[in-house]
Amino acid sequence: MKKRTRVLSLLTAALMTCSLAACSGGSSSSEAASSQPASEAASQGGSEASSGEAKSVDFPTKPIQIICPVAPGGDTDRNTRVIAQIMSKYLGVNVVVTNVDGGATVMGMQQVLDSDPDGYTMIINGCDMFVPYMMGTTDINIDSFKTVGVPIIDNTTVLAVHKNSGFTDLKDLVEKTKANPNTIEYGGKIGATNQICGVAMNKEWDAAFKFMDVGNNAAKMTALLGEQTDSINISYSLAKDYFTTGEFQALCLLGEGKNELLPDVPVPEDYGLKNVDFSKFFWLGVHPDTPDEIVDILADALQKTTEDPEFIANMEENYLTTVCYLKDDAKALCNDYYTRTMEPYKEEFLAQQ
Amino acid sequence: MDLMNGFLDIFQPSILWLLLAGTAVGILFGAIPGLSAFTCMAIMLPLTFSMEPLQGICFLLAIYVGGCSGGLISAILLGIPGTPSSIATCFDGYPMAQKGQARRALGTGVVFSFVGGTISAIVLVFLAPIIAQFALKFSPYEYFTVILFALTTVASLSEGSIVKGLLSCLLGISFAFVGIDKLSAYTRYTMGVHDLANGFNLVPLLIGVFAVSQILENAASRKYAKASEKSGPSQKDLMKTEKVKGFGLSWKEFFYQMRNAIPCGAIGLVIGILPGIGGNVSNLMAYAYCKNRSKTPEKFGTGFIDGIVASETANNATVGGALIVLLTLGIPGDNATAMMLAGFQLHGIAPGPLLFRTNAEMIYAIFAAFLFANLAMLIIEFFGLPVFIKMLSVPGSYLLPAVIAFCFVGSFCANNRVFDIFVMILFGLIGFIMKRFGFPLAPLVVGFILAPMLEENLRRSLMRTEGSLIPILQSPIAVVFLLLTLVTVILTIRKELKNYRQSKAQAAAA
Repeated sequence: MKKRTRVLSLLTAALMTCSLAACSGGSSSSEAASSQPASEAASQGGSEASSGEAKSVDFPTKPIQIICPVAPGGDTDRNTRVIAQIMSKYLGVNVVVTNVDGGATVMGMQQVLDSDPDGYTMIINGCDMFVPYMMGTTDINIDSFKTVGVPIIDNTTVLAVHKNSGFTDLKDLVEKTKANPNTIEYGGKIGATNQICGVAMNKEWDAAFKFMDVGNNAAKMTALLGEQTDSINISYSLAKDYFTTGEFQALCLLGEGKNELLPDVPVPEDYGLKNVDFSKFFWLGVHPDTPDEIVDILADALQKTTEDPEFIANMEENYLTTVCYLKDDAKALCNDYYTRTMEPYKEEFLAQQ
Repeated sequence: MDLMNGFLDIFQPSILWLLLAGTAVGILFGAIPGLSAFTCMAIMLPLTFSMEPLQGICFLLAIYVGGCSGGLISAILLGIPGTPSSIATCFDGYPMAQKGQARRALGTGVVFSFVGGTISAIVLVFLAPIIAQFALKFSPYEYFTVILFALTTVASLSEGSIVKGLLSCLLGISFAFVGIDKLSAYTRYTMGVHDLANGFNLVPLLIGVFAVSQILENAASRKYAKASEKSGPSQKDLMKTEKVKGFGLSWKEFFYQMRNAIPCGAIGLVIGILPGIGGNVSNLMAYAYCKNRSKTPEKFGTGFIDGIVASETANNATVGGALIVLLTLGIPGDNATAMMLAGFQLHGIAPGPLLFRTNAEMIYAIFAAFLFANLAMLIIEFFGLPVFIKMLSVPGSYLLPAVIAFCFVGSFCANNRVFDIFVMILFGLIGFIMKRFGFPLAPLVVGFILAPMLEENLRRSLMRTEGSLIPILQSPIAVVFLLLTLVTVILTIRKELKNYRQSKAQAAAA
C-alpha cells in the first residue's frame, strides 16, 4: 500500500512538472511551433553577422514578449500576433504575445515600465494610449517609453449603419441628426477614442449625434446587428462579413483620405464635409532605459518585418496599410496624431464624462 | 447530409488525434484548480500557427470542451472547483466523495457533462442561426432584467441563513465596485493603489475564495483532527470508496435525472448565448433552479446526485451556446471564446454569417468536431475514472502543496500579472474567515460577477431613456424576467417565514 502511494505521488509530481513546463513554455510561447522559423532565422542571422555590422551587444538570446494591453479577440491582438510571428523570423528567437488587459491599456503599459530595461519586453498600443493621459487618470504616455516603430496604419475606421435604418448616405444621416438633435444614436465605448470621434463628428459636421455607451467592438457589432443603436464606428475588417452581405452600410471612411484598398467607401469630403481622421496606428515601444543598441536591433527586425511579403499580404487582406516609421520618426507620427485628431476635442470629450 | 460531410472532413488521423489530445489536455487543465480552458487555450494558441486551419480550430475546440468538463474532477474529489464553471459541482460532489461515493459522483458528472454538451451540440447544428437572431433582441433593458433575475439565485445558494447569504452577496457587490467605472472611465475605490485600477480579477478571486480557503480549512481541520481524532473523514474512510461498475449510475437513474438535465441544459444554453455571461453563472443558476423545484430541497448540499446533474449539464451546455454566437455572429461571449476567435483570426477565417455561405464545409466540420470532442471527453473520462479516484489516496501533505502551487500559476496566468497572486491570497483569507463564521461563499461570487453587469446595463438603459424606467417595462422580454424575479422573491420570503414559524413552534414545543 505504502509503495503504491509513493508511486502515485511521484506520478502526480511528474504530471505537475510537465504541466508547469507547459505553462511557462506557454507564457513564453510555443517552442515547437516556432522551431522552424527560429532555425530559419538562425541561418539568416548567421549570414547577417558575416555581412559586416559588428554588433556589440548579444541580443536577443532568449524569447521576447510583446505585451498586448487588451484582451484577445480584437484587431490589436490579431495584429500583435502577426507582428510577433514575423518578427521572430528575423530576431532568431521566439516572440511571444502576452495579453495584459485593463485600465484602458494602462495595466499593460505599467507592466512594461516595471520590467527590466533589457529589450525583452515590448509594448504595443495605438491611439488609445493617449486617452487615459488626456483624462488625467495616468501620467503614462508615449514619452514614457523608447519608441521602436510603427509598422501598421489602420485607415479602415468607417461610420456604419444598419441597412434597415433608412439612411441613404452620410449627408442624409447628418441632415437627419440636425433635424432631430440628440435622437439619432452613435454607439461606442465611453472613455475610448470612438467617443472622441463622436465629439469630432458633431463639431466638424455641425451634426447632433447622441452618444450612447454600448461597449467594446464585439458589443458595438451586436448592437448594430440587433438594430439597437443607429450608427457605430468600426474597423472595416472586423465587420467585413456584414459589409459584404449588405447588412451594414459603410457611410464614410473616418480617415485622413481615401483608402485604395477600400475604393467603394466614400470620404466625408465627397459630400462637402470635412474629413474626420480616426485612422489608427500600431506602435511598438520598450522601457525608456533600454540601451540604444538593443532598440536598434529591434527596430531593424521591425523594418524587415514590414518588408516581408507574407506580412504585407496578411495586412492587405484586412485592408491595413503596412508602413515603416522607426524610432523618432514613429514617435513624431504618433504625437502628430494626438495633436491633430485628439487634442482639439479634449474639452468637449472631458465635458461628456 | 452536410453534417455527414463534416464528419468525413474530420475523420482523418491527424484531426482525430488532435481532437483526442486537445480534449485530454483540456481535461487536465480543467481538473487542476487555477488553470482553466482559457489558460490552456492561451498556451496552446501559438501551437496552432503551424497547423492547417481546420486542425488548429478543432484542437482549440477540443480544449474548450475538455476544459469545461475537467473541472468536475477536483470539484468532487477535493471540494475545489477546477474551473469557475464547476463551482456548484462542489456543493454535492464533495460530500458524496466524503461519503465514499466518489466514483458515482464522478461518473454522474461525466455522463451529464456529455448530455449537456450533446444537447447544446444538437441545438447548435440545427438551430444556430435562428437562436443567434434571438440573442440580438437583447438590449440593455433585457440584459438588466435577466441579470436581476440571476441575482435571485442567491436565495437558493444561501444554505442555512438567508441573511448571511445576502450579506455575503453584498460583500461581493462591494468588491466589484473597485476599479474603472465602465460608464465614465474613471476609477473608483482604488485608494491610490495603481494596481487596483482594473479592479479585482475574477479568476484569482475565485481561486482564492474556493481553492485557497478550502486548503486553509483542510490544514486547520487536520490540526484539530489530530487533537480530537474525529472531525472530518479520515484518510482510511476516503480510501474505502464503494465498488461500483461503469459510471456508477443505473439506466433508471439516468432517465430519471433527465428531468433535471433537460431544463438545466436549456439554462446553460441560454446563458451561453448571451454574450458576457458564461459557465460560471450558468452552473449556479441551474443548481438553484433544480433546488427550487425539487421536492426535497433540503437534500441539496449533502451529497445529492441531482446537484451534480444540474451543474454539469448546464456548464457544458454553455459551451454550445457560446459557440452559437461565435460561429453565427462572430461575437465572443466569454474569454475562452475570445481565444477561439483569436485562433480563427490567425488562420484568416472570420466567423460570422458569411462563413455559413462561403465556407459551409468548415462550419459543418466544426460541428462534427464539437460532437466528437464531447464523445472523446466521455470516453477519456470514463477510462480515467479509476485513475482520478486514486487521487484520494495521495496524502494531503503531498497533494495540497501542489494544488496551491497551481493556484499561484493560475492566478498569474489569468492576466499575466503578479498582483493577482496577492488578490488570490487576500480572497483565500476572506473565504476562510467567512467559512469559519458560517457564511456561504457562492453568493459572494454571484454578487461579484453580476453586480457590475447589472449596474452597467441599468445605467446604459437610463442613459438611453434619459432617466426614465418606463421604456424598460415596455419590452416584453424584460417584463417576463421582472415578473420571474418578483415571483422568486415572494416565494423565498414566504418560505423563510414558514421556516421561521416552524422553528419557533418547535422551540415553543420543546
